[in-house]
Amino acid sequence: MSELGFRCESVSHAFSNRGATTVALRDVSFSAQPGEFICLVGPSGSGKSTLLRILAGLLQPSSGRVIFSEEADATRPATALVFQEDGVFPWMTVRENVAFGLEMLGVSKAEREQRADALLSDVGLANLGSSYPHELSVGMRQRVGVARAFVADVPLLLMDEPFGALDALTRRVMQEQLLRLWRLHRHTLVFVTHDVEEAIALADRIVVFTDRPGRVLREFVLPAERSRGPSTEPMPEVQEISRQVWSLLLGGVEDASARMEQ
Amino acid sequence: MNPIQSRARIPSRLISVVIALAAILAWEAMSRAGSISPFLAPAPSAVVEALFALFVTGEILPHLLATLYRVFAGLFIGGVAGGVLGLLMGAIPRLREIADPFVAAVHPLPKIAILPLFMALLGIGDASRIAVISLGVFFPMMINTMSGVSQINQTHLDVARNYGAGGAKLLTRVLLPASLPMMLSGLRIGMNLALLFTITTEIAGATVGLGALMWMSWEVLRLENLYAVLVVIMVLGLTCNMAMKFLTQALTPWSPAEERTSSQSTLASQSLIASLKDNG
Ligand SMILES: Nc1ncnc2c1ncn2[C@@H]1O[C@H](COP(=O)(O)OP(=O)(O)OP(=O)(O)O)[C@@H](O)[C@H]1O
Ligand SMILES: [Mg+2]
Repeated sequence: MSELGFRCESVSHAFSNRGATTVALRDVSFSAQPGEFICLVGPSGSGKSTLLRILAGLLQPSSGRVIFSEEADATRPATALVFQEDGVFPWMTVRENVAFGLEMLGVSKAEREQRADALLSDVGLANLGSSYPHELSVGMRQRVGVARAFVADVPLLLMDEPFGALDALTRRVMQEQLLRLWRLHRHTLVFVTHDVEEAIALADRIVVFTDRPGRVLREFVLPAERSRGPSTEPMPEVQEISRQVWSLLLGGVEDASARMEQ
Repeated sequence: MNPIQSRARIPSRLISVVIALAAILAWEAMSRAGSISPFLAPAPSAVVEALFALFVTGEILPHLLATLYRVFAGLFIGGVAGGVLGLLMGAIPRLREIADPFVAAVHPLPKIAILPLFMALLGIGDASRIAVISLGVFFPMMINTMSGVSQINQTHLDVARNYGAGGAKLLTRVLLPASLPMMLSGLRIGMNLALLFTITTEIAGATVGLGALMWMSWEVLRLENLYAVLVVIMVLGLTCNMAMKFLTQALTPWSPAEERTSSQSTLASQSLIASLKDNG
């Protein structure tokens, strides 16, 4: 129940706004094993957020499909998406925000508050349960969003640059916490980041996207047995992957695709 | 608020009070010196005396109660109707498109101009007055609620959908709270209009109510009573606006404190009185 794999098959998506069409994703195919930690990296505008919305079922792809390993259930599997933009409800306290998913599931108030408080202390906001979001910093609100996604204990977690607004120190602490929670619950995790170091420190697999329209440029599988985390010095094999991801991102779309076609 | 300013500056509120007191004193002095006609502008002391008498004899009580009843009846009917319709129109774009021409046509009508029509339809009693007052409250309430609902942050809706919120839960936990600040500001505008329309409709043929009392004082040339009733209306307006401010803070504690000074509520009462004078 806590693990869910999926496979994207030629997922494409085009937005049309007042006549103009933007192709955000073209023929994106990749798959995730149950319990896998996947990082998506790619330039701004390469369709990463769009893909997460499709995985969350908030957007129907223009073509292609996503197949989940529990599709037999017929109903869509539950997902929890941490939005890149501020998705915390200003009218709820921090605790109510975190417990929102449980509230929708009909979990009793006492239980959901207890579970929310446990996660709040995991993300370093132990004493802020009764505060309102406007009293928090942007980085603190992002952590509320992360806690809200974790508390519902869904099999597929989708995170869109959740640590983007954090300082280097808090970011490291949050990365450690995320790894700890992931090891504990073994959710399948799709994590979008701009930061190659972050992807290297966290992922089982890195999927690199090209610029618009977003396509999968390359996938890198990281050695699973390595010691992960922001404070570990990457082994030579991993350093080589880091170098390659960087050169793909820096090399620009033309260079990269030219190389691939050879 | 600004610590740099507050150290050296005299508070604005104090200056306002001093100006008001100075004006009243000047008025009093001029009245006593006989340089303004006590008929047109009775001395402040005479107005205070009249005000006192109105309360001591209890003469004002039925009028005050009648006015309050009309204000709140209109606020309730117009507020509920405007809120419900605004919610529906905000949530259903198609309904909004269909209703839009009607709103655009009726909204600019001076509601008071519809009073004779309502009187023909509902009789000359309170029903026609309350209909006008409700209509006055209805429009700002509906328009504000509608824009509150239709301007809900798309991300918040996506979050709600992502966690499976639907039906009543979506309404009570997301749609309503998200549009509550706009609804409350619609209600505040509606309340000031309710006061305005109540007094105005009372001038047109009512036998009881603050507007009626004012009109009768004019007819029997008891100008100090007219001024005294104006003071009562002013205080009523201020009190209602303050109550509204407390209600807003109690219902939306999550909204960053609005720096709304009472100058706004005073302005509201002033416009009310100004329009009364126009109508009178
Ligand atoms: N609602 C929308 N309507 C029209 N175009 C959109 C919409 N959302 C995204 N796009 C377009 O789709 C493309 C991909 O956007 P998306 O937000 O998925 O990129 P991203 O990879 O998440 O970028 P970033 O790293 O900056 O967050 C962009 O060109 C964007 O302009
Ligand atoms: Mg994005």
